[in-house]
Formats: sequence, C-alpha cells, structure tokens
Amino acid sequence: MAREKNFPFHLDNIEGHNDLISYNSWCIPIRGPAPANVLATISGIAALDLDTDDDLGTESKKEGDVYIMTLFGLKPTDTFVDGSAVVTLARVCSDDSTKGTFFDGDDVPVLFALDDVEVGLNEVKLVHIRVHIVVGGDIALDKIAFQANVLIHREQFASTDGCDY
Amino acid sequence: MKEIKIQSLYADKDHPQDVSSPKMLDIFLGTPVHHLLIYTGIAIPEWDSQSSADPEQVQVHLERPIGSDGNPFNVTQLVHYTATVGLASIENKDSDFVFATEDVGVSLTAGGELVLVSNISVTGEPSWLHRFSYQVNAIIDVDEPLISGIIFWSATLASPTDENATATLNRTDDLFTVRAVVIPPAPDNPFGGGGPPQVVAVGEVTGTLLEQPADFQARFPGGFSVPYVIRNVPLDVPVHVQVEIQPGAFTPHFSPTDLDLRQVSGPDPITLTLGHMKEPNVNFELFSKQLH
Repeated sequence: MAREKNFPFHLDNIEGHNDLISYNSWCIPIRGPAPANVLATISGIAALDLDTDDDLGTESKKEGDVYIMTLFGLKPTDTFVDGSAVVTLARVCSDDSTKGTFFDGDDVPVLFALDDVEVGLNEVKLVHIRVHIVVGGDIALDKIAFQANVLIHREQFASTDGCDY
Repeated sequence: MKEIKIQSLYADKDHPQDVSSPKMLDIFLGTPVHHLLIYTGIAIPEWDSQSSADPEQVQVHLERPIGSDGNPFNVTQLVHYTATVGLASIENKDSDFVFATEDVGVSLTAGGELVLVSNISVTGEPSWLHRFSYQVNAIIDVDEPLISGIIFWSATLASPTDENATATLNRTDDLFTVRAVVIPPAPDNPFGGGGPPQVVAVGEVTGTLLEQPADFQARFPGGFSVPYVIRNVPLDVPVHVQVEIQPGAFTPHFSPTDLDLRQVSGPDPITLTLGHMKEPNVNFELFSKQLH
C-alpha cells in the first residue's frame, strides 16, 4: 500500500511495520581506529513504496529525507565512533498515466535520485540511515537497498552479543 | 568502434561536486597486520545520452588512510577487495531508457592510491545517469613502520586448564605490556652502558590466546601464543622491544619474579627505515628461570 507522500519518511520493522526486507546484521571485534573495538554491518532493502502522480514537465520535483530505522541498537554504555552507508535504487517504475506534457502526450519525464546519505542514532540508540531523496514525474520509487557500517566503542563484551568470536 | 570516455572523480572533502557523502572507515585488523578500508559514497558522473547507448568509464580516486601524525599513508599492497556499485540518481524525459552500471573493479596505482573503476552506460532521448553509489571493502597494507611478532610459552609453564602447569594463567587477555624503547647513550659511563630506556612507541596484543602456530608446535607442543604489534615506530632509530608480564596475569607456584621473557627471533636492536618499514617475526618466549 502506498504511503503518505510526505517527507520525512520513517521505515522500520517495529510496531507491526514490515518495511525492511532481507534485513541482516553482524558485528565483529576490531582493533581500531581508537577507540572503536566493534564493527557492525547492517544490510537490507527498505520498502519505501513512494508513488507520485506528478508531471515533471509542469510540476516541481519532490524532495526530502527518508530515515531507514534499523533494528541494530547500541548498548547504553556503547559509544558511536563513526559510520558510513551505501544506498542504491532497488526497484523503480515509471508510469505514463498522467500523459506528461513536457514533450508530447507520450513523453513521461522521470527523476529518481538518492543524493546524500549519512548514518546516525535515534534517541534510543538504534542505528538509522538518513537518505536525501529527490523524485520527479509520474513514478514509483518502491525499494532502496542499503548497507551501513558502524564503528562502536564497547565498554564490556558479553557472551551473548554476537561480538565475542 | 566508439571511443569510451574516461572521467576521473575524487572522493574527498575538496571535491564535493565529484562525490557526495564520501566516507572512509580505516579499521586496523591487528592479526595479520592489515587494514580494512571501507569506502562509501555517491559518485556524480552526470553522464548523459542524447539517443544511443553512451558508455563512459568512471574512475573514483579514493582517499588515502591517515596516520597518527595526520599525514596520509601510501597503500603498498591491495590484498583483497570487494566492491559494489548501484544506481543512485537517474533521470529520463522519454519512455524508453537504459541506465547501467556494467562492472566494477578496484586497482592500486603506482603512487599508492586506490581507484574504483566502473563502466556505466546510458540510453535515452535524453537520459542522465547523475549519480551512482559505491562501497569498497579493501584489505590493504600501508607504508606504516611497525614491528610485530608473537609471545609464546609451553603448556607445561602456564595453561588456563592444566592444574599441573608451573604457573596458573589467570586470564586470557591483557597478559603483556609491549613497548619499543631506545636506550640513550651515557657518555659518562666508563663501561659503555646506556641511560634509562625511553618509550618511543607503545604496542598492543592484537589477538586472544591461541594454541601455538604450526611451526611452533614441534618445539612446544600444546603451547600457547598471543600476537602483538607496535605501530608508528620512529624511523632511523635503533629500538629495542620490551615485553613485560601484566600484574596478575600469571600466578607462579613459586616466586612471582621467576617468570621472564626473552627475544628468540628477529634483530635487536631494530632500525626501521624508509626502505625497511616492517620487521615481522620478532618473537618472545615466556620461560621459568627455575626450570632453565
């Protein structure tokens, strides 16, 4: 089902949402850069389901931020050291239902853009990826693939946190 | 045959028009003494097509890792890499189009720089491939001066499980302190000795307790070892490697001063130079003075 066409979008798998597909994560102990001692990698495909009915020839582009809220959280005593992410267009569609007017009745100008990306934490220390998106025309931007890499300083390791091997 | 255009882009903060959100994570792996570099970014080739399939080769020059002195390292070896690219920003003003990232690779230049190479292609009247995303994971060596080796001992000396061993191993981490020291000359000493050792670089144990490497098993069957590395060793200075037991790591069954360490391989002192940046296999043995 198409989402509200308002930025910012928040995509997650909590409270009954199922926005993140093929979600996975792991972490390993590392030896720096100081003070980092854990590297976490988080990947998946975020279902944005953004569907516009605009005519890029006569209407302006839409842009804003999408927050991919991962399930990977830092412990209260962990410190976020640094992070990076890669995002790509995973599923896009164009649609000529509006019969765009830019050239003639059959022309359907479209734009799909992931212009900027950064990794951060939300208020409960879950890792999120912020993607700045620009779209134009009568399009559907259904899915965005992502991978985040996070450097963490962990005060204490536990045998159950998956980072002790 | 149509000549393929080559476009060079630079992934650093001085070229925001070339790459958006460029990041490099430099992770020191410790054992073996490689770095894992993770590069991510959104390259901005702004490649367009007026009708036919227009190919272009994009070369993204990746930032060099930075040393503790703030100067960039040269990459001396590309050991392994994985790389991926994907479409990030595309635009078309016609219903028929092709946007392609055809391939991806990473190369190491003679100047010690990593370069991501991807052939892209666009078809449409008109179409633009404004941006593509990339991630490179590269395991590399840099021209960082370092000394590395292992510290080992026999199972009869200390074991986490064997109660009959000479000493009790109380933990499996934080066992040793490792330093590179220089011993300054003492000209007023008629016997030619030096002054007190001065620490010039602090090392670290870069792995947990392991059973002996295969080449040590014959001499010390069932023994243990830990790897260590000392990074940022000063060049052109003769240094000695000093290894000490951390307090409480071992509990000897007799005098606490009865355990000692000795260097069993590699030169002493060690002088690293621009032409000899790494000294591996500087190994130490833990032994009991009483048993020797």
